[in-house]
Amino acid sequence: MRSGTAPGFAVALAVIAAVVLQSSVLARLPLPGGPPNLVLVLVVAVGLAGGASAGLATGFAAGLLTDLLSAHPVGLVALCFAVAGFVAGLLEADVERTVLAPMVMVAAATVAVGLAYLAVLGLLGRESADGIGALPGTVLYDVMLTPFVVPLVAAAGRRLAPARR
Amino acid sequence: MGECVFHAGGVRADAGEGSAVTAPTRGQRRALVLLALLAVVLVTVDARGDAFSGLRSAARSVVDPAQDGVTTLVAPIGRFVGGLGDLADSRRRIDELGAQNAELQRRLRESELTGARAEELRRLRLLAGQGQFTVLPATVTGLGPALGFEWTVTVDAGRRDGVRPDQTVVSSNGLVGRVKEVADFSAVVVLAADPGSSVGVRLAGGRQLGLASGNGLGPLTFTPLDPQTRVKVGDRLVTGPYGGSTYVPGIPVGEVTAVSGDPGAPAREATVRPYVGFSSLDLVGILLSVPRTDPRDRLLPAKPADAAATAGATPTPAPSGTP
Repeated sequence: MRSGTAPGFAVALAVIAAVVLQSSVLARLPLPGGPPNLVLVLVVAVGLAGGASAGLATGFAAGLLTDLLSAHPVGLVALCFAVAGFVAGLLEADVERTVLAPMVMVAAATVAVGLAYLAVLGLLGRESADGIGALPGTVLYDVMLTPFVVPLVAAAGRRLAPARR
Repeated sequence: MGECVFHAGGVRADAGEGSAVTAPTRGQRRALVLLALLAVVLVTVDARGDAFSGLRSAARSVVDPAQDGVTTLVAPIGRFVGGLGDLADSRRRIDELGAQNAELQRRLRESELTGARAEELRRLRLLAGQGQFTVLPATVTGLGPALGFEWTVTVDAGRRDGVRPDQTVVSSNGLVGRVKEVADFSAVVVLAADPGSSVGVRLAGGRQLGLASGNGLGPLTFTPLDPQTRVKVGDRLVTGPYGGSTYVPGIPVGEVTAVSGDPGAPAREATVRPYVGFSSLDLVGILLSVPRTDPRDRLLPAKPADAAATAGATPTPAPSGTP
């Protein structure tokens, strides 16, 4: 994400779109288990495509926006997503060849973020609406979203910032 | 991710198929720590008190219009998808309720039928008690093979139950017919309405005898043996005494509703409305034993005129005892 502001702008738009979609559509789908977490998948995808810095920034921003639109303390999801994006940026997957590695990463990220979120909430003495029971469903749906989101973000990143690293 | 080898300065290390691990640069690490600390501070501050309500509402006001638009757009889809999710559930529920409903309706009908049958049975036993004969209750299981041509019904009692040909069959209202053919567990009953059937009858309250012959769907026809017999509307008929009749005596047959010829003049024929509705038979009784004495007119239903007379009303020959 070093060449100009176009990639940053695109990522910001994508994050806002994902947050809106997440809160207005995905979170309301009457799916068994928890809702899919599109924003997290996007953060992981941006990290994979753009590296640790991009993943960190995107994760923090997207998490902060999610926090501001939710009832839990501000910064909680920002922390989780920032770490997730950062770690995803350290890993690189050849998404052209296989989406298996990104799927595993998304699953791990979802579990880690979910557990961290619940743990911090527990430390703060609050309770989550869904709890840990919703986690398996969310993991499954996130993994199912991965083959669509990750290649799309990778392709967009290549087009907007061909000289990445 | 297999064995990961970290190198400083963004050097990649192979870590399995199609993926690699890059070690973060110093700046990246610093940024991570910084943002993480910032997040922790934010969380702590916000958890103490509602510090970011202004920011929250600002973010809301930015996102809300987009969210509203998207919600409006996708609400039907969401409902549809939600409907899909609930579809199997709804269908199962509908099936469940349908089955329950059918079961309840069946039970209701059954209990109504049981109640009606219990009442029928009680009246049948009452009739048998009054007439001093032994009655075998039986249910009509089928109508004759050619209803309208030959008026018969099949009942679920047969030779094993003691049914014999020519036994009289009644319902709680009066004469039904007589047993024609007997199988082990069923019997065929010729109804009094059968066009070939004629029953020896007697005018209630007198000794005038005659024949009541069936006309299928129509009412019975009463032909007095003695042409001088005076018959008037409202006269009631019971089965005739022993002798020329195969029927048990004293069973109510019907009521005269019309007399042919001039009023007052000796009648050739009279129309008789049977007490029994031949087309809606259910519980019948087969008279297994014959009373030692003729019950005469005892079995006739109480004439409404008699009851009305005691109540002081005008006596009208209203029909009685038919379903």
